[in-house]
Amino acid sequence: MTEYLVAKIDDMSENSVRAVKAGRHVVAVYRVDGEFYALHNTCPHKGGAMCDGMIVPEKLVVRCPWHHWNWRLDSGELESDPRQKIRQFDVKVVGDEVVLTV
Amino acid sequence: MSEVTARGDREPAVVVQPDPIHEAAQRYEIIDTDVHFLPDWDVLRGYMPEPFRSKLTRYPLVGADFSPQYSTGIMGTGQDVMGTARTAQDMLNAMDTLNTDTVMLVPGFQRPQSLYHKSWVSVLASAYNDYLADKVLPATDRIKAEIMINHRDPAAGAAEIKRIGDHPGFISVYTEYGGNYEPVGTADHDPIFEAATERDLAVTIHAGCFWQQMTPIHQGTRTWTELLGISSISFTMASVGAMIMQGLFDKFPDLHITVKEGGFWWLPEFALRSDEFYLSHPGDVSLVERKIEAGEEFLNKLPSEYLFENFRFSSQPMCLPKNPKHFKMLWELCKSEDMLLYSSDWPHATFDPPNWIFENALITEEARVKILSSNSRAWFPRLG
Repeated sequence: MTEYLVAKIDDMSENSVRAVKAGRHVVAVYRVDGEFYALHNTCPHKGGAMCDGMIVPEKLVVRCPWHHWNWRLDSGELESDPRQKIRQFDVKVVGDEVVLTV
Repeated sequence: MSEVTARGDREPAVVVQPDPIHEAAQRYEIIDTDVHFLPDWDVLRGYMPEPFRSKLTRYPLVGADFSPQYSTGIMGTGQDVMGTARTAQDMLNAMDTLNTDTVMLVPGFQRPQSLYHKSWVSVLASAYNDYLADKVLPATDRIKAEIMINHRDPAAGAAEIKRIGDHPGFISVYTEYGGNYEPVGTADHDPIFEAATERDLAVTIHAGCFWQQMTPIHQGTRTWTELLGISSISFTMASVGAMIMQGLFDKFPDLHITVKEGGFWWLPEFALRSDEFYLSHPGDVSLVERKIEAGEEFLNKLPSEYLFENFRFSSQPMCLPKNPKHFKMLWELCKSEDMLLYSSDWPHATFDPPNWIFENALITEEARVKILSSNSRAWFPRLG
């Protein structure tokens, strides 16, 4: 496992996303209502870029820009069928930094 | 690079803007056979005669309230989630983003074609075609188009093909089908097929105008999945069945029909069932108009032979089974590498990039080339 520095906390505004290359993965890191979440950037459906999806804070989902599959930020579950998941990664705040573990 | 600095064992993550289109798309010629084009309404009005120009001040509305907004939260014609192309430059910009070499424009507005006023549909079709011929097709060889016609008025539809069908930028004829109108396979539509075949133009049947007006199917329908996802396939099968069983291809043997957004994996069922059923029940074929006209008793071929010879299918939406063994079976049963023409349906919410063609190891290199370009070149002679 490797830790990656994604950003300073203040560099990511509320309800924003940053796509980063971490090892062989591209990961979309979200800040929503003060919390950070990290999902694989490729939608399991047809490969849409999750970093281009719309964040829906009130539902805590990010909506794939291509076909509007809603993935839960806190669990990686598909809203309409929780048996389906997008890969999640561990992301935490250390001091004033956002740290991603891949 | 991100602005943060690594401390200890942590590595700074590289900030990226990923391109979700498969990188292999840059190495292939890609012809997209189903891209929707939505000219500005006021621009189209400029191509209409009076009184339509003055009276039709907006895209006409229709009766029934079936809309994707309830299922996806998106409002608007065609759910244009990827953008909207109103001009040739809009289209070229999108093509470059998608690594697409050539597109076939399809009208981006389905609703007006279900209007009760047939004259409005004819006027709109001519205005759309004239705008394309005037402003869009001259801009680039990378954009080709289908002739929009009023297929519910076959005489008018044929007249429009004759009027503009010799323009080299138009490579096909566009019709829609749905439950509020009889399948275009009936003999009433022969003027359209005759005008098309005289010019070596394929005819498209595209899922479309069936959700705006009440039909018996709609009265039992509540969801967008039932309507667009499922019913469109049944309407497609009815249209294909009408064409085959009513002798269309015995009258016009070289006619090419392109099915767009009509599903695909149903072909084995259709082929097996129609052959079996026809051979057991052939007697009423002699009663259809074209057979009466020709004095013939039976079809010249089995239904499945027409299906695989006179039809091609746009690829979107490609619904892939998760089990590769199942995919391989379907792929072979449907003769997919010969039957499919790549399409994205850009910019709609059912958009389908070519990634699946590159990512599936069961699709051979030869099949990729066929689906992405060479099948279309063979099917639409004017593509060259």
